[in-house]
Amino acid sequence: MAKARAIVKRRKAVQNIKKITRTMQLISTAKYQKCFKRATAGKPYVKKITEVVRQLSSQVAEIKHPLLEANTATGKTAMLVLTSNRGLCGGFNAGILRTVLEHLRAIPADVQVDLDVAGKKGINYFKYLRRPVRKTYTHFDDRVRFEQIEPLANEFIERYTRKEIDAVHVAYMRFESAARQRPTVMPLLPLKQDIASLAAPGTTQPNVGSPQRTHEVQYDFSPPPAELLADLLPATVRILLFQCFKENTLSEQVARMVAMKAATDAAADTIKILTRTYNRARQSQITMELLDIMGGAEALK
Amino acid sequence: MSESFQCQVITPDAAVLDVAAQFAAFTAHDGEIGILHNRAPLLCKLGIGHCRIECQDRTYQFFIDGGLAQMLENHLTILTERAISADAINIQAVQDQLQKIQTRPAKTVAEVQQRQDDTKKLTTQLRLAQDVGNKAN
Repeated sequence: MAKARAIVKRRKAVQNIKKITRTMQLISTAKYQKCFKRATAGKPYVKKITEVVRQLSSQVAEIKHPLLEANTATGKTAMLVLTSNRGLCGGFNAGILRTVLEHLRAIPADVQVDLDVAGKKGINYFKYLRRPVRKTYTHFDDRVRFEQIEPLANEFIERYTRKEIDAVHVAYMRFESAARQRPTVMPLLPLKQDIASLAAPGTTQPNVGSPQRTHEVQYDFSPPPAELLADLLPATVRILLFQCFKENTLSEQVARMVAMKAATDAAADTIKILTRTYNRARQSQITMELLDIMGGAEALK
Repeated sequence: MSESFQCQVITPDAAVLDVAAQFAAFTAHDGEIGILHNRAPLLCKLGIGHCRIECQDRTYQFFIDGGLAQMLENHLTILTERAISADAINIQAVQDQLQKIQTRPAKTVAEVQQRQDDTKKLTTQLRLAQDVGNKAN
């Protein structure tokens, strides 16, 4: 009975694994829904800020702002890599890190890249590569709040305006839909000249009741539009970065959901195969014992 | 007092408030501004301060940390990166934080400025919380 018992043991182990992966799948589904709700809760802010920036930029003839001008002389760029703190999420981190490496390879060798890494998985990966990292963050969980992102964004803005860095890129998993996420390296700074289209990556077309009429509106501006706009640009950078974080956590949950679903299915298949093997082993054992008994009876005759 | 306008308070995390208000007052970058029904279109920068929204049945009070206010066609939108409801401010926690900040060493100009800003934020919160608390008692 030795072989059959070994199979039973293995089947039990696989059944336990299946229970665990199934639970993890359920948990990540719940987390995904929560993250999704949070992401939609932030939409009105983005929509409004885009609308106001567009109205303001139509009022201002020429916009001059340090965040819009390209720094070129520093020979240094910064990059923020967003990964997850936990594993078991399929190709999520691998996808991001592969894109980061491709991006780094494309940068000329004389340009120094300051890497900031969020998430344990990314940190360990760069440790393994023995690539120095400027700063690491592990405190971002699946409930990212704006006040956690704010200091990060402010630091980038400050370093950029002090002309310490040429550009800031953010590498993250972009959430296009529940069925599709794509690792992306997004340039955060300098801001694109076309600022009206800025704050809306992945959001719906800005929707003002009637665009013609809003242009005719004579606002009381306080302070003048140019100053207001200059004030709004850092806010736009902050909200852009916040959105990257939100999309990243959303994608992480989706990736984990898919990975755990696959693991549960694979476990179910393995259980089926093991059961079949076990039944066969048991049957052949019974047959053998029967033959033994019959052989014994024959011999006694 | 029956005429009202729609008032929204929006932060990056969520739309905090969406009510029909009769009067709203908030701290702009250069002083307080009050809004009534049919105010002319306005686009102004907010300062660190408070925001009071009076509705038919109750008054909402928030601490706001900069941002932007837009009034257009009887629709007031207050866009701020942080809005804390006055009821949600924990006086003890704010006092502790304030003490920590005031004892924080600041050597450079930027650090001194930062400390002043932080202090202003916290004292405004404290005042607001105490006001609300006094009314409730």
